[in-house]
Amino acid sequence: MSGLEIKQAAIDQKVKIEIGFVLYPLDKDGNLGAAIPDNKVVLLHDCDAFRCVAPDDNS
Amino acid sequence: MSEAIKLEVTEAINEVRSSFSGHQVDIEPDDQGGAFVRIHEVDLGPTYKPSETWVGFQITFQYPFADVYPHYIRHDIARADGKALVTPFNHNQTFALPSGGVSAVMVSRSSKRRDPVTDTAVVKLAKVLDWIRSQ
Repeated sequence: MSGLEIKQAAIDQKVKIEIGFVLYPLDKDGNLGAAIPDNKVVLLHDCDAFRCVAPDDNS
Repeated sequence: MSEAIKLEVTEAINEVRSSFSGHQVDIEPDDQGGAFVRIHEVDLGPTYKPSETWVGFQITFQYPFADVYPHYIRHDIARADGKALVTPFNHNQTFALPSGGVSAVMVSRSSKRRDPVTDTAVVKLAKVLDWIRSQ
């Protein structure tokens, strides 16, 4: 699945994120991996975990 | 009277240490319940010269209900292509550590829609570093 498809799947399951949020994979220790761009395809496994957060703004 | 570092701040520091294992991570209490964090030898990629920097920020006592913002990087950072660093990079700033200020470039990226549950200090740092590397 692509990063965009992962986010869409979460939204379809009523996870409170938006499609424009930034998606990060979590490793088994809960540490963040590199952000997954919308167009990047990743191979998913059982129990894969992600964190998805609103993007930042210049201030 | 100085305040010890709050539990929530300590947990955030531990999360940073875990995600940046292999890096030197310096911690200084801010005496209000928060702490200053400085991570060394962080790679910013080929867009920058030098490409490696320290990154500093304060996790205040209001954490997790306050944004971790702004972030600071080495003062002599420049773009490798010679173009100027523009807003939200701010030159001639100081990372005001209690042990002594450090000349720095400030990177002002605020999280206006942050969720205190998911937008942890290390998530914010990851977003800031991703943004810097993508410029």
